Amino acid sequence: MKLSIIQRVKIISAVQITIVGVVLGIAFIFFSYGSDAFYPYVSGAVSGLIAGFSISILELYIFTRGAKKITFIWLLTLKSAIYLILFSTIIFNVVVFSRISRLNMSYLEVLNDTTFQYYLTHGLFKIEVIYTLIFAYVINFTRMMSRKMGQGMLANYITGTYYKPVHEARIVMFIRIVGSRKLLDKQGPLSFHRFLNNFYFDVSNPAISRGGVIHEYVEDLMVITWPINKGLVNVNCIQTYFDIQKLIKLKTEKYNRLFGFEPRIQAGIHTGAVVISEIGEVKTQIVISGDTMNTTSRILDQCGVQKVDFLASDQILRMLGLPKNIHTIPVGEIKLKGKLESMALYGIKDFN
Amino acid sequence: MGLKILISMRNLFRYTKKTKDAFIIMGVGLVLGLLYPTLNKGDNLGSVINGFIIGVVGSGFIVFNEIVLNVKFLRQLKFKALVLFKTVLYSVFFISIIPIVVSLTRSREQNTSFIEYVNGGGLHQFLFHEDFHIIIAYSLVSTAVFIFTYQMSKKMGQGVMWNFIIGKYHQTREEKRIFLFIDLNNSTTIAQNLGDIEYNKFLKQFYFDITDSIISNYGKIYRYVGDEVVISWRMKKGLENTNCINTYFQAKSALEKKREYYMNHFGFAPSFSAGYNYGKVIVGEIGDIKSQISFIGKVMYNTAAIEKYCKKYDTNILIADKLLKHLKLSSNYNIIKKGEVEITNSTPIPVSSINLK
Repeated sequence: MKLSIIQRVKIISAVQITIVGVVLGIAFIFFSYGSDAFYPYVSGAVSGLIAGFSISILELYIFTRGAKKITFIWLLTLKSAIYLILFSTIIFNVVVFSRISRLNMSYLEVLNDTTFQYYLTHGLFKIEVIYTLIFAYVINFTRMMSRKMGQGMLANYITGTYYKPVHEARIVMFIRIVGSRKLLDKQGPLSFHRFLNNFYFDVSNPAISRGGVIHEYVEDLMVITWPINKGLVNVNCIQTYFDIQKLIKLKTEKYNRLFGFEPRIQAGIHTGAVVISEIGEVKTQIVISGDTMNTTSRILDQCGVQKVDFLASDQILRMLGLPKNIHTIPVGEIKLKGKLESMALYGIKDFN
Repeated sequence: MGLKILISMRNLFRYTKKTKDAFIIMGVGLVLGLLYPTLNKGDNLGSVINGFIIGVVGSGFIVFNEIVLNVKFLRQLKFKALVLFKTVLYSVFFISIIPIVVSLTRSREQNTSFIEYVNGGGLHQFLFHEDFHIIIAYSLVSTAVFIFTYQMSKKMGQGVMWNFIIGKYHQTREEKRIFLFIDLNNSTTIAQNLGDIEYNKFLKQFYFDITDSIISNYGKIYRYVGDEVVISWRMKKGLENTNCINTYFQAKSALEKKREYYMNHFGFAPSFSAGYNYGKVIVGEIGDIKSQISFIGKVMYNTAAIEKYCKKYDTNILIADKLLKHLKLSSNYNIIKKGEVEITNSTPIPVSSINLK
């Protein structure tokens, strides 16, 4: 079975969350029981493992997109209640089983044991449950932050990779959803927002499954970049465009029903050196700039002028060995706005 | 150095945002300080007092280092060096402060003097036979979490993280906002002359120099796109004291003051054009793997179009007349009618320019 990239990302996150759970479980015991206890460490690790695993399942597979439908307060209350019940059950049972194996008692004997009852009422039980709840909130919070920053960017921010501007070679594609602005004019901003949200959600998988990084959305414009080798392998960068197109075709009926129009995309692709850097003191953003970015944007502008949906520069095509079904059609030497020399551009079509 | 610290101390009281951050950090520090003894020792009054003092003093030290001092050379250190430096700094701090606090409270408890307590072996007992190492580890982990969260919230900018925590934009909402689009003039020429990296530094410096005039007038930086910055205000905040207009004039004079610096370093001095408008936007999250809070509305396109017309009307500032109507400009300003801005599929927008008399 071949996993889609989104599924792989989810599984990796689940493993990470679970590992963090185990570490925090052990850390708790270190802080509360000290370093010479042994059994508490086992219980701490096991509780962390189970709690981490259940948080992963809940966050990654159950509280997903539908969660947006209820208000924040309700979602928070619901989640807190579920987690509270879940964690109480987990910790309770882990401690019981730890005692069963350690003291050679039966389940019922443990429940009737006075030291166990003392642990529940006066001991650390409550604090352990609260600690695990806080862990769940922190996981939630970090995941949101990381999404906000973009793929892999949280780590870059933390380590300051782009604090000073860095030159990198990249393949850059600008994609515009043609005609979607009519939606804004006719049905208003709420409907346009809903459309963009639906669209970007749908194309997430094809956009990143071929090694691309979604850099940003600027209203109806999406910017994707690839490190050179990732973009070239399997003609990934070009295929991404066709993958997105196929997906749109599959969902045409949905878009027609919800928004009364079929999205169409235009794209410009180019390659060259870009500058990646953190910009801004108060609000920091990782920006990709440089001549390559401007040129790609101008190539996209040419799509409308030349009446071609997908335009590529000569530079990127020379690096690629295209499969037979993908054809290039020269549109000639074009003088792009703000450029001194003209550039050879090619329309790209898939004849499959 | 001393003067600099004094100035930033004063700023701490002037800039409400930093003061708020300082209070939040100290509040959380207090809670974490109290949490440890309740976790570990139950309700022993002495250790609760210790936790309280260490929590407050520790977070106070963090506030002093990270917010008040915020030393520039540290910000330019490589990440690994920075982590090493801070680990050493905070370890030394906690290792020296915690025994002092504990000895003080315990000597009080035992009705002896501080010196007698230390000489009597009490300190030795605490350092080597109790939970001293655990307290140090706990303090360092808390400090790391503090610094991480504070840095992230700074990077996300102006209340974004807070809005997240309270779920402000969990569901979309409609807001009436004033928008300002700022675009660097002659960017193509400058970029071609400076080359990619130098141009990037130039832009960074430009953004750095105009930031103060944005935040001191309560503007929120929405995003940077190429050589353009988008700033917005809630309607009320932007109109108050003509905050939104002040941003333009203050940024302009800030750049004029640094003109020589720019000429010496880059050979170009930046100037910018600005377009103003207001309107309703939908504020909400967009995207899945990469998600963004975005403003969606016609006003975004309109304001961009207004800014583009600056060149045509030979001015650096254009304001939609409908926004001017709401502004109570002082008599120091001249208002100059300029004409209309064409918008595709929509009615043209009358605009005016303003300047200082």
